[in-house]
Amino acid sequence: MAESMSDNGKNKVEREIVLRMTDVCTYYGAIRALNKINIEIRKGEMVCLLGGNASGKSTTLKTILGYAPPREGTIEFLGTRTEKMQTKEIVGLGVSLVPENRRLFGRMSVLENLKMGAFLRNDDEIEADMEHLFTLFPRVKERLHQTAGTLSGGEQQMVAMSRALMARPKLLLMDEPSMGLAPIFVQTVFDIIQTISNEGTTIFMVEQNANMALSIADKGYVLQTGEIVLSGSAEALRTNPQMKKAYLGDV
Amino acid sequence: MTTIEKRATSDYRPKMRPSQIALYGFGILILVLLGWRIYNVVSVEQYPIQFWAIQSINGLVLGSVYALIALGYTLVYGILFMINFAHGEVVMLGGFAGYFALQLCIRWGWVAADAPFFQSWLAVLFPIAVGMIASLLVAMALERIAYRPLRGAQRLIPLISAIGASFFLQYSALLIFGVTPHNYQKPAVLTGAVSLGDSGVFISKTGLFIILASIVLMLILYILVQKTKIGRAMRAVAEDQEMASLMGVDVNRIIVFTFVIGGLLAGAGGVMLGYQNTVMRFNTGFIPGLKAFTAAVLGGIGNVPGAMIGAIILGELEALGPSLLGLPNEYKDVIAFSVLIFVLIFRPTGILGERLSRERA
Ligand SMILES: Nc1ncnc2c1ncn2[C@@H]1O[C@H](COP(=O)(O)OP(=O)(O)OP(=O)(O)O)[C@@H](O)[C@H]1O
Ligand SMILES: [Mg+2]
Repeated sequence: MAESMSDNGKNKVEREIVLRMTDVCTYYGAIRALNKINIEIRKGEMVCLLGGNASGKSTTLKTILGYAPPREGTIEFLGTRTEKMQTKEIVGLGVSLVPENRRLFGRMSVLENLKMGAFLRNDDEIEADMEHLFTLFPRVKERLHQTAGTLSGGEQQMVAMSRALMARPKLLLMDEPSMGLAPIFVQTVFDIIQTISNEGTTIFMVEQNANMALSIADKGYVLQTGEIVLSGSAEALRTNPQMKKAYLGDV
Repeated sequence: MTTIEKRATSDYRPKMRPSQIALYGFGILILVLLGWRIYNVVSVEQYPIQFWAIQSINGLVLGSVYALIALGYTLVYGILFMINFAHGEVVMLGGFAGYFALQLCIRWGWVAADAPFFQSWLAVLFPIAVGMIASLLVAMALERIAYRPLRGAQRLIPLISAIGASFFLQYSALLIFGVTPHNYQKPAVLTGAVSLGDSGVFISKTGLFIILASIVLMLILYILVQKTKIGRAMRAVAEDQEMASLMGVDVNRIIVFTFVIGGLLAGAGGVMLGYQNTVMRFNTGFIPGLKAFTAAVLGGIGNVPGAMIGAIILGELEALGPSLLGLPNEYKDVIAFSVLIFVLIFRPTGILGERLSRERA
């Protein structure tokens, strides 16, 4: 797979590496969920991780975050080895997650959820960042004082993304942002993700919706039973015959 | 079409097993009998209205102390889903620490009837502060030694550890302080009573102080939990520990903080119990601890306003119940614990409970 094909006209080959996973293996007890995973994400890139159910996509994110620490291999985040670190330390380095199923703090208001996102920050730009987020997510501003648990699924997804962005992450992890959303809304969410990416946030996104993900990503990896079976630029993956057959629907 | 109809009918008629119907029937029967008994007693005994007013005020005083203690149970449960059965002993040790601080005040002449107003208040507040700090330390030690090593174990295991810790602390106190009761002496500002106009209703100054001080402490707690960053982190940990730690919250620190707050309130409660009952014993915390636990369950364990409401209700039931039922006053404990059993059977989630246990277990 050619690693450095032209990606939406952006040239990212020279940029610094944000995340590098080398030969990572993760186990749940005796079961190996990830087998010798190699992933590289550079600054400003949007990388997607594709794969069917139970292929290990969420596990990959948990491994990066130290929730399911790897048994073998190394993980480097902006030059720091993190594979033995605790979650809170890794989060402190600047990794944020938009989790599977949103997992907002359902009994808090939307505003409080956003403040939780900025928990580690002490600077005086929190308000300004919030205002900026409201331009991306006008709906979030409208619902600011509503209890988060009473929001619709789509609104919750937006709050979950805003919450993660409030941390000013150096790497934003997203686990299936399109899950459970109406098709028309999926498009909206992906447009917003594209905007966030264009603003310079480095994104690593797990998706089942391969077509959509590849349409906005720079690079992709395909997981199958814990192994990376395909990788390359989004364009290369879109046109790959194997890929077409297995994930994109051979039209 | 048929499935919709089926669903509609099954919604319309929730399934109730015969045993359940019998149980509820039994519950209603008991309530009716109690109501009948109360009607008879009240119409026969003809207590003056002042009596009921004074008893209600006593209930409020009692309820305030229970509330301070119950908050400790409910805060810890909200975060760890564990009943800190040693909490009553945290209260008792705070009470003893307050006792010794009070002895100092006596030596300094602050407790004497002719002590200046300011010193007299210091003699009230200094033991409370000392009691709060002592209880805070005990609560932190409990968390560290008895609970943290068991975190992640099955739910029953920390419970057993808590009961063990309760006995350990109680009998350590027996060894150290002996069986003889330690007498609390009231500073001048807490002696006597205030009468409310010429209605014939009065409230002891101690009682009034307990009510007001509890309100202040609970207001501070409310602001802390609802308005501050660490309070928000506490609520986040209570809702979803994993997500909270993904926001960078140090979950261990929050758990310790929760025990600290519970301990502070328990210490204040312990010293107030001392002023109210004027004695402190090695087992002084045990029954109030159980009562406060009952109050927390009554209000919905894990729910902060619930603990306050449950405590006031329980205090009132205890103060008014025996007279209403025409029973000797010693039956107040029977009434309190009957309420616990009643709640556990008929509404395990408590008054304000949100079915937490099932959702999150
Ligand atoms: N905590 C766990 N303990 C044991 N096995 C687990 C655990 N979490 C995940 N697994 C297993 O690891 C495998 C990969 O799970 P993972 O959640 O990473 O899949 P996924 O690719 O995210 O799937 P989906 O698209 O359904 O979310 C699955 O077989 C799953 O059952
Ligand atoms: Mg998943």
